[in-house]
Amino acid sequence: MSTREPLLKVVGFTKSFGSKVVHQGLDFDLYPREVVSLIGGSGSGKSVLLRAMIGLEAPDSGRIYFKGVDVSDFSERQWRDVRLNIAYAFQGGALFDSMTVEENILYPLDAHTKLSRKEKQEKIDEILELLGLKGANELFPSDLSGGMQKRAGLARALILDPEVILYDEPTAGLDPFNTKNIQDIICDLKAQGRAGILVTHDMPTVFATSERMALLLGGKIAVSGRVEDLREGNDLVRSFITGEMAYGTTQQ
Amino acid sequence: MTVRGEAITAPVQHRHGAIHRYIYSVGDASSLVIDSFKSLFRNPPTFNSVTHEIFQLGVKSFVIVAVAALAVGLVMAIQFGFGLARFGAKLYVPKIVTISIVRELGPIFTALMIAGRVGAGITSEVGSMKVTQQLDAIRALGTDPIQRIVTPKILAVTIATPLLTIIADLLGIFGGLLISSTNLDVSAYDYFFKSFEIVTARDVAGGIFKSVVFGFLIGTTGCYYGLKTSGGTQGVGQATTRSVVAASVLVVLFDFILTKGIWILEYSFRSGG
Repeated sequence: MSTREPLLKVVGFTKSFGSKVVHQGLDFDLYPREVVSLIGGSGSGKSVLLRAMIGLEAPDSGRIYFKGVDVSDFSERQWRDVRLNIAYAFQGGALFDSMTVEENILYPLDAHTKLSRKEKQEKIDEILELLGLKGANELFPSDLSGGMQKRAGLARALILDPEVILYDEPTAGLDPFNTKNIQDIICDLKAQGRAGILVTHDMPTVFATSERMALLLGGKIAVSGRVEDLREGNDLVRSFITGEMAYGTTQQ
Repeated sequence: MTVRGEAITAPVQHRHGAIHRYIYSVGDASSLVIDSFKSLFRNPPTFNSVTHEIFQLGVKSFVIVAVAALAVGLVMAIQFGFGLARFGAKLYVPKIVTISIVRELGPIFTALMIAGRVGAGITSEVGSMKVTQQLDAIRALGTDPIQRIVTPKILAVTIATPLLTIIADLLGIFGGLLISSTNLDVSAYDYFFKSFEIVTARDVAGGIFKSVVFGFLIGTTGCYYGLKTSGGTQGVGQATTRSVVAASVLVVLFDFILTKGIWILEYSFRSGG
């Protein structure tokens, strides 16, 4: 597909939970400045793959490379450095509910930077404005709507300027306005040069944001390619999009 | 590959029998203790995070501990007072009440109260963070849940329990004084004189030492069951119940072990000295 080096590469990824085999020898890669969507039925292991890419889930076998470095056997301590470059936007935001929005975003800044309080405040205000959360600094997660929680979680993930952003169902459960808002944010971040992997069932978001897409089927990437090529030209993808693919086909 | 945080927080998937599961649990809990100790020295928790936890877990337990300790002192004085009165030995009530409270009842009642209130609180808080992916978020943000959440809580309970035990001892002794002076014709002066005549520094130190161990057990058990929580809100409830039961049983079990150990130590000191 490209002569460029992949930013993130997964080779022969295998993962099981008890007797349930989720992935068997899956290959996947992500290049700089692109957004790739991972689609597949519920329970097909999209989020598991995403979690493995940031070290939250250990592969049973297979290798994961970040910028050419094999991170598969990294210790938790080594993963911490990798995670400064790969952000994870959790499906529900995963905000710390005992902290305000501002304290949530301040958390990674306090942990990893030596910025002054004023510089931190400027960064927080800037990211909150970018994500349409201006004025939400002192609100607690319980005071926020689902869409605001997702955006606040994204703000916290983005505050350290990561190179790769992993979006786990970023538009699930959102109204059309908030969905469009999230799509615009993903496109803006891509324009800033940040690559992303999007796990979603929301096909309009895939079409609006991604260069490539991959369909997970039977624990492997069944189809992968440019979005415009697969959208109409691939039977499997078309049957998934139109809902003609039988329930359970994409599950193990 | 074993990722430390994952190994501890992953739900038990062993397909073995109860004994295997028990051994795995002990192994996991031991690994949590080791990780907490490592974290304590490599990346010590901030002073603010520990004092915040001491306030949340310790200071807010004051009322329940105080009420229980006072009640224990009152009841003991009544029981021993009327029991010993038959033999004309009411004057021994201060000594018996005080020594029992300082050596045994103060530490264990305080620990059981804290196991119920604080242990449950820790498990439900950590468990809720687990099921809502907040612990994953801590890891994804390049930080360590053991350092951020577990170590400050264990440290706070280990510090707060002996402090609350000292308060409980004093209130228990005061409860005994109330009954002795109002119902048993023992003056407050005699009560104090006889109480502190019998209690030695070793008695106090033994009780405090036990309460430090109890605090550590309660904090570790609460965090362990919180980290092992799975299955949503129902799982949080189940983990909380297991945590309180386990912490209470451990407190009682270790009370016997420590009491026996302290007794052997005292005996050897006396024999040697």
